[in-house]
Amino acid sequence: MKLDNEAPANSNHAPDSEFDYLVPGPARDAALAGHPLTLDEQMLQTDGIHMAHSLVSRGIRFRKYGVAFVCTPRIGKTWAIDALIAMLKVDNPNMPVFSTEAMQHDDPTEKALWTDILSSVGHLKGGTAAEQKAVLRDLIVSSAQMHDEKLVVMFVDEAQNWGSRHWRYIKGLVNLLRNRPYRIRVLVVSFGQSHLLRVREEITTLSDGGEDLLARFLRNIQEFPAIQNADELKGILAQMDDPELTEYPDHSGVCYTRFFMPLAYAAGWRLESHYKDIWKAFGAVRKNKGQVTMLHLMNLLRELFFTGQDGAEFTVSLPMWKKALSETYEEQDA
Amino acid sequence: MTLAIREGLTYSPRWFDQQEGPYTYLAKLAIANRTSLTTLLAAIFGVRGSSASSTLRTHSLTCVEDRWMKRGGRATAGSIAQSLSQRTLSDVFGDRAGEFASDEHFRYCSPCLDRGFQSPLCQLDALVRCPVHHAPILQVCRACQAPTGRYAFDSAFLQKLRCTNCGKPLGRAWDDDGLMRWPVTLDTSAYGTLATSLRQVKRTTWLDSRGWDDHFDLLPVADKRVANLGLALHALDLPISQCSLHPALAGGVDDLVRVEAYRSTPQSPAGKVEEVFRDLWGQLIERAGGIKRLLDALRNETFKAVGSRRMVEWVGSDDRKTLATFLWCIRFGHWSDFTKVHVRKHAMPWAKDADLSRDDWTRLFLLAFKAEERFAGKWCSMTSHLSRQSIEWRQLVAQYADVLRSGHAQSTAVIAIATLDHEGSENSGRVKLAYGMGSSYFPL
Repeated sequence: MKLDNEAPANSNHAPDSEFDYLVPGPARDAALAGHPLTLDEQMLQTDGIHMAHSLVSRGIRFRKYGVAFVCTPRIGKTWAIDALIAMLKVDNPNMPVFSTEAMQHDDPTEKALWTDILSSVGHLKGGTAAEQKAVLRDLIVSSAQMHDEKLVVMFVDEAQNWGSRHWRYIKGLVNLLRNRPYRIRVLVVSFGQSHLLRVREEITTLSDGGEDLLARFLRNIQEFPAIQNADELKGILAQMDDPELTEYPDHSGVCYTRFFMPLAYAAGWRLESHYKDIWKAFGAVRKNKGQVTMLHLMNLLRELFFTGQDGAEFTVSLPMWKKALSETYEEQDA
Repeated sequence: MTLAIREGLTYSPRWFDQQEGPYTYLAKLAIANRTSLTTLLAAIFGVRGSSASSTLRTHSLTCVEDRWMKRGGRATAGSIAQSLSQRTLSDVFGDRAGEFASDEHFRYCSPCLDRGFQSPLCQLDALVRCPVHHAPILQVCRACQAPTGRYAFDSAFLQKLRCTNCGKPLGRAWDDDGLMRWPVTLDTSAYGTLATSLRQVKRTTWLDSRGWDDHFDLLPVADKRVANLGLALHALDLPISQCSLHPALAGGVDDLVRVEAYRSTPQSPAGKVEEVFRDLWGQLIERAGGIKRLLDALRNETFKAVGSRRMVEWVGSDDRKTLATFLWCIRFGHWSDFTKVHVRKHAMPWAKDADLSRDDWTRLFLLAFKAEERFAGKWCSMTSHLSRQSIEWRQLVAQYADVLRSGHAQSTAVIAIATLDHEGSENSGRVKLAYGMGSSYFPL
């Protein structure tokens, strides 16, 4: 079957003959293996991301010590952190930004904390707690120095796993860096589950220094929202149809929707047009006080793209969305 | 991630200058990563920990050569390893780094080391001043004058950046907050220029040994390294500013005899050489005459200038460099071979009343040059218009030199070296060296 997946008339895409990754074959297989949707590395903007970006940017602007977000499980914290890092890179390409995951340990020692952080950034260092802390300090100093920056952003995923002891250690490091001769500010952006709120309560009750810890890192914990309404969903889906926002492969002018459904896309089919059906399909979830998260949405779209039969007449009905959702929703929450 | 991290190590390219040597390079990595040299080498080269550890425990790996980089690891892998390999003295001098540079002490320029920078060229004994700051190259602690440690990797690697006597850091970049001073903001291009010139040494076939030169043999090893660089400068005609080099190399003809060892042994043949070097052309002759072995071997014998099967032949040439090369060879290169040459008296090769041809002048000069002054004088006196009373043989030589200088030498028969093959042969490097040396010593 000859593909007829010409780009819209107003686009300046190259002729389709160059897009061999849109035609079944080895080139497509290779491209598919590295597709952001396949790897779950898609960078889509949501209202929640915009809100978080705004707060983090404000934290940077006002040289705050901490910004914290609490999210319900499976809302896509890691994805949100990746998206925020990408946005900060656009805002300030030179600013050192790194992320770490707060781990749970039976024996939550200082050494374990520094080991976790250094490991998460790919550092090989072993050694004593003091040595590791010094290495992390020097790593942050060197990173700032390398880019002539005075501020470093550290994202903490699963921040609910850190207790007051951990926050004290972090405070010690942050203070060390703030003072001479370094004069470097570290903004700690924490993402945690609801348990993070309990950690804050625990810190509040500390007799010594709890208030300081709270003021620095956890005073205002913002809720990181899931997808709130159909309009927001529409905006997310529209990004999938727009090669300016979701282009893959690089410099191809091919958006995600066109990559997966080239014939349907050429025939004018757009994912955005299904936003109402998708929102309705999520209705049952919302009735159970569940949230429409990016994780759920992406799994639903993966189901569509990987199993749907591309064609000029391709479309998806509401029952099909519901069926796909029931399969993917159960799967991810099983 | 935009962190200063590479290959699992804290690493900022801004810490390192392009001209920085491997010692401070690795020291910075070891300090920033709070790691031992063993662990560091394992991370960079993949050397097995126990192997590297045992090596460092039992050996001190000289940093002058780059063999330490190839101990069972992946010397070519990783950007840090590659960067290191371009910072060694071996990258400049090839396998001959040890003939020019020393690992006896860590040598440094104070202002450079304050900024965390040390060029591997500081290890050249001949480099006495930093080409960037013109500060002296030190191998002692600035505070207490205690000698610095070896320029070698061993278990005391990092401690060498602090004085082992008074404990003070050798430079401000090595104190507790030294990392803040590491980003090199120096203009080290002078080191780069020097290294670029010296790289010619690596590309040149070199004389295998200087065992034939007893003056050289008398030198302490440090002076030998200075002298070796002197040879290189002359032989390769390197465009190197002399202001940073050892005073012995700053002059022209009499460079090597300024090496301290020569001055300190006035009774030695070398001292004799120094003594006779004071006047250029007179020195030139007397220098040959000052060499006892040559004198003893040839005195009272007739110089066999023609037909030596080993050394020289007369050829028609107008190449002044060839002559200079010959002179250098009989003075320095192969003079001991003259002791084996059967010499015989032979008659004055021109008629008493003849006008001397340039060939004759050449022979006369050589006779004089080879300390056969008796014959030179005799021939001069036998030649009617060269009465010895009016023209001293030294003047003859000077006149000969003037002839060559005057530009009328095109048809002069001079000397080539039979045993040194022409350009392109396996000995071409020796020929080039001899050419360079001859031109420097005997600026005809």
